[in-house]
Amino acid sequence: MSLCIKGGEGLVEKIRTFPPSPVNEKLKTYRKGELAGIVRVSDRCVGCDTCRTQCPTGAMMGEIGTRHKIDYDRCINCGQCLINCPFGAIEQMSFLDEVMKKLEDKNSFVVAIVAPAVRVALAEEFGKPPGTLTVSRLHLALKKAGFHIFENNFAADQTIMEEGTELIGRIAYWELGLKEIEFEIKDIRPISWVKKVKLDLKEFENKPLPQFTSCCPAWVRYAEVYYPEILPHLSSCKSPQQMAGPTAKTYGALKVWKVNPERIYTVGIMPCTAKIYEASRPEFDSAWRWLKEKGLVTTKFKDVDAVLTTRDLAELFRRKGINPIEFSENEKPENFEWYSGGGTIFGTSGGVMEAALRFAWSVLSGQEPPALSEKWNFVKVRGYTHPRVEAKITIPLKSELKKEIGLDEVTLNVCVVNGIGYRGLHIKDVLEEVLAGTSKYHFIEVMTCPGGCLNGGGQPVEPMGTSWIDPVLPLPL
Amino acid sequence: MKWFVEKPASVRLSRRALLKIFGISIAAIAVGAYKITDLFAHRNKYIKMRQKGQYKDDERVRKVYKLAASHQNPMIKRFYDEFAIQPFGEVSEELLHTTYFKRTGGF
Repeated sequence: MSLCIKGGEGLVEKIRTFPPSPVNEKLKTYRKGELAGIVRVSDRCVGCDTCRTQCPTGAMMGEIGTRHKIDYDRCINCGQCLINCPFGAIEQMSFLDEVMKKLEDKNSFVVAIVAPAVRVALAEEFGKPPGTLTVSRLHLALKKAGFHIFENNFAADQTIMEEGTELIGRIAYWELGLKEIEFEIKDIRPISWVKKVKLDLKEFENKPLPQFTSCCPAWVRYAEVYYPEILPHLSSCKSPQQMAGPTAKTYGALKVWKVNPERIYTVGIMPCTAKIYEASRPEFDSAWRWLKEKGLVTTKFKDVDAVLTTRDLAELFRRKGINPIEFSENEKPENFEWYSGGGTIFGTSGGVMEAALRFAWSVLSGQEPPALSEKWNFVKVRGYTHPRVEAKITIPLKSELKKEIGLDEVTLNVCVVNGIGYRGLHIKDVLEEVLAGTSKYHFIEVMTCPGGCLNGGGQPVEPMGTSWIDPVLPLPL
Repeated sequence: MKWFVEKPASVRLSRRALLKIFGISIAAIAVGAYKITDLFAHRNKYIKMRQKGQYKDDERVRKVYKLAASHQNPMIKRFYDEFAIQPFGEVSEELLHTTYFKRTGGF
């Protein structure tokens, strides 16, 4: 029972899991090969109805006092029902046994893709309060368990490079009416580095404003099922996990680790249940297609082979007798362990937005202040526990762009949706406005879970209560 | 003749005692109700604690490694120099971008 006022003492609830298995129902909103039923209600359900008030889509069915059931066609796999269940009656699909076997197999090169929000919550499973940072000690513990490290924060930096460039492209085409744009991505520390980017804006004809983030797999599925007309507005960038997989299997295998790509087995370690579903989407075998074209591999493989939640990882450590808290926190990163501040804040609501703004602001204004400067902080967009945040960001243009564009500065209207909310409460009018063509925004971040990934469906379950962000009443009366 | 006379309530419970009992019960209920509101006020405390941790990591990376924005990451520089050439380049389009799928469930 978790109706307890105290909390934050590292007493997390145990969540039951089951091995991957197909659902015995005919489903309309899943394609062949996609995993459905990532979370399911067990017969321990007492019908308290808490989960139904947390479900963003109305997929949870049942009345008070009866055992509830999930309509998998409506479900977006976010797992909010699971982490809010006071009785631990909802179970999660887990790849733990498969990953344990792969770790024993000497021929496999197992790569752990560690998400940003895992490092602030994993310690709760080992008796520490929420928010305890585990970075290099998490890396060391993973290495001891037999993994090679690929920081998902590195992939988050990749996402910003692509998504930030896309945002500049969309604004240049739709707001400024340009046909092509050239700009420099530049850094002066420790040595000067310049990347010239040239964009032919013709392809942005099908990419209208506002641009939505596409990092959250539950939000992507929400858009696909409930608002398919909004899809051209979604950034064409994959989520960090799906960038990490193919990067590890192509660039990582060929140029960094120098191993046969077929030996690489990628494991996403995510705070999220929807990531398990995302990895199973049929189009996510791009590394195999790319390598096959070059004649380097034959057998087909997925970009991300398995996904573990934060809870699964804790269970893996427990089974192997490893306590990540005991390792050193001062190791210097190497290869794919490098990440920036912009990459790590992806785990919180408003983080993707802030990271994209840091990039766009620096590229457009040409400024490179020291890393600790306040200028890098866009506090206005931080979601914290507000259901929705909006802000106006003015970026002065550097002189070369002033000449090219003919403006002194650009103003961005941005919006952060912090949790889709009960039956789309926080997002409905944003989407309706975009579809009606009256939206004033340029860039909109959506996180399905209140607070962001760090409160995702795969995180340790805190007994201090449910994660409502809407104030006043816990239940709609 | 002996009449049955009901004893006044004040014999069993004086006016003062009644007020005392009512007062104490109201106080007890009020304090209890107030305590219950804590349950809702702190229900998202752990979200705030984890958010704090996330921004602490941001500060740590910026302080120790001087990396505030994504394009400053040394491995990102290597990735684009050695492999992907530029954002929205050929490699990026094949490996880092995707398309979406309309799913009609009839909702």
